[in-house]
Amino acid sequence: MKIDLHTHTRKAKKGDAKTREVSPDVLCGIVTSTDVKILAITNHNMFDREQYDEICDKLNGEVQVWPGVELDIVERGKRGHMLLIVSPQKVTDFSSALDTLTKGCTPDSFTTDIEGVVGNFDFLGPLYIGHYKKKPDLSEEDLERLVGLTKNKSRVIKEVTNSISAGIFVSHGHPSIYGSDIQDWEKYEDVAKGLPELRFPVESFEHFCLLLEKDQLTINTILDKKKAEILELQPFDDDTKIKLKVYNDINIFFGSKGTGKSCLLSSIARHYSDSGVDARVFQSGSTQLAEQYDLKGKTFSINLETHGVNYCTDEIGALKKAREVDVTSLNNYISYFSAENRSKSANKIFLKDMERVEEEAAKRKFKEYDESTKTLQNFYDFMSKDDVIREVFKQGDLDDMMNKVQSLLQTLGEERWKRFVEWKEGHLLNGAIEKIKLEVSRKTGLPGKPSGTGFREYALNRIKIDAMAGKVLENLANPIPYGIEDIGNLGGEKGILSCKTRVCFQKGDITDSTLSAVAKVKKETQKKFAKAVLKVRDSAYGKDLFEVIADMNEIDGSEDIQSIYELLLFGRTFVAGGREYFPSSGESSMLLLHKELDAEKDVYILDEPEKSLGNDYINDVIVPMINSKAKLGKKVFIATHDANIAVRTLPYNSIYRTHGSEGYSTYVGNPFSDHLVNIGDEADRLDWKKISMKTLEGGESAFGERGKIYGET
Amino acid sequence: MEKLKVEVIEENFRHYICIDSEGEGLRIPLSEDNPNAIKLVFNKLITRLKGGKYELTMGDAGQDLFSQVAKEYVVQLNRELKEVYKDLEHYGLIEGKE
Repeated sequence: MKIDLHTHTRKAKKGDAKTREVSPDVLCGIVTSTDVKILAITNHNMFDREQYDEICDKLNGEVQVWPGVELDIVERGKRGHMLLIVSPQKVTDFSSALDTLTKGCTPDSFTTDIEGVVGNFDFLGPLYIGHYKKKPDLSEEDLERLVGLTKNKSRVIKEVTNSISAGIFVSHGHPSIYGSDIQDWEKYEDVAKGLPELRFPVESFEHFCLLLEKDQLTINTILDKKKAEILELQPFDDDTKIKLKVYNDINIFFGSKGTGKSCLLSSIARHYSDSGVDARVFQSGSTQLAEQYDLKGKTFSINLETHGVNYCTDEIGALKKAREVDVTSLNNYISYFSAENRSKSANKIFLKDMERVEEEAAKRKFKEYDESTKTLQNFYDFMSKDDVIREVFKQGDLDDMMNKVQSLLQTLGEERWKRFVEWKEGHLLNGAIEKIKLEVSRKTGLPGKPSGTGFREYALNRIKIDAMAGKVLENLANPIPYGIEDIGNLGGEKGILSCKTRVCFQKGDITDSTLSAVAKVKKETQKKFAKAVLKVRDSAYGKDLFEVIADMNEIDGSEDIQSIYELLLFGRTFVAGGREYFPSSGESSMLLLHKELDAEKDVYILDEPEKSLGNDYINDVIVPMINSKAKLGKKVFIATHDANIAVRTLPYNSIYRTHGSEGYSTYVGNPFSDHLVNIGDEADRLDWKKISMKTLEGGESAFGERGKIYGET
Repeated sequence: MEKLKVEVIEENFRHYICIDSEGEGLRIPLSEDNPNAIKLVFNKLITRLKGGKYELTMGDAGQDLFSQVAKEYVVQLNRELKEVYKDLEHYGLIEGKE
């Protein structure tokens, strides 16, 4: 909710820009597209009642429109401007009072003095907003004179040029505000972004004035509307218990070092964690960015299957265990043919000389049918039981499809059975041939005919080794995409800082020293093993294949390689502007805090978030982020020594810890009431602003120096 | 299908099954028990099989022992070559084929 107490809708004076003139229709369209919810119309020395009424009608309560005027004041021969704004309920009296005062003058010729303003308008209880350090401005003496004359002393405000000036003057006890003083309505949407944000919901002009007066009842009413809870904390090693009312908003802890603020934050974190809420204390500088982003990959792991990579666990295990298969000795043939005609009885048993039938291919075929049958059956079961399918399909369509699937299942089942019979027929026949051959040899003492040359078994063994090594190498060749995570903006030319994660397989040719092994395997072992697998594949049909496999098994540490996961290499770096970047400790703090506040949580607990951070970053980035969390109703707890955070966030709750001769004390309050009350003694009250200045900046003088610095900018 | 000629040869009183593979004579010793020599030939037969099917053919064999052995050996080897070709196909190792 933004407020703009200085706008022009008419080109009243000759010097006014034409672009200040705006029709009610256009104005309403523009204002409702911004966050401005309170708008004061303050044309130069005039009030257009008709236009005001039309604007109010068109906005129909969506935006509060307060009537006002910007008056030319001449005091001691010097001209200054003053805004005068009244309650919409007093618009008629205001309009006639202004008409009376300006009678016979044009907006260009009209001037008055402070006495005239007070005399004519004070009965309306207006806001007096004098230009201050904003040309043409009123002097300090002019404003003091105004305060002396008016009955509404709390309603005298200084109008400054921007938020920084306003912040400084407010810090020094001068109620200050700034408005758009719009020159060109076409630019209003942009201008409105920089207008003051109201911390409290302001319901009316009168409500605003009560807040200006720091009316306790009004403040308490607003605070009570905010969700709050009482925390019972035991923050210290002793039995001290502290009851704190905390808000779903900003809760600031401040006080000198060693007053237990961090312990309080830890106990709050414990309180929420015990209730199952994600809450931990963020301590700036306690961890480095490199640690947070695990640059060394200590906790890194990856599921290769999500990248379409097979772990090849079976293949690597089988390769390691691979052994040579013997071939049939030619002597067996010689023996057989030498003895062939010696036993007439044996020659009658033809089965012993039958050729073995192909068994392996039949088995493979059966497995294919078996697999397809099972998959289809699972599909059928899923379709039959799934409620979503039933909802989506029309019953008739579903029945048709299920019947077709059932029919397919039946056909597949029959074919599967045939393949099974073929496989088992061959298996039984081969078993019978071998058995009878053995029996004939035993009875006759003559050797049987060899069933095969051994070529098939020999070749199949090597083919499998070839295929397995090939599969391992094929999976090692799979690229795994770079993971890039944006961390935050470093500002300026550096731009976005990202964390780039590179993961790849050691294929035997990677020598990059910046990469480290993901698993607990030496990089040298990885490299040798990958090379060995390549050599196994290349030697699959060579005479030294099993020597190569033996060498592979002898690689130091190869026993730790169970799958290709153990051949993974990992590298993670920070990157900015397309190059590797090493953030400073200040940048690290900045980005970590940004990340913490960027996370979606209900409770944020920050211990001295300002550490290592520049004022600009705190003001421009961190304070708005904290405020936005508060707007969303999140609980934000901050222990801080920084005035920008403790004051400029305008916390609902300020908790001040102090230590004196009577021990530790806890005070609670807020910037709106300007009080801090001892939770153990309600009569013990402190001035919020003075304590804030003293504690947060080390004394009012420090504030003053800071004010001068900002004042020059 | 390509056919590789097979014959029994005798050299220095030793007999061999000799397979003519692209001008190279692959020799399987018949007169001695030498598994390594057989494996060498088998490796070459597998490598050759990856390039495509082939068959071993033996002309009229004599009635001597080595010829009978060679004849039987070639019959069995041809059967096994066919099976191994299927295995190569199954594992996707036939060159030029996925």
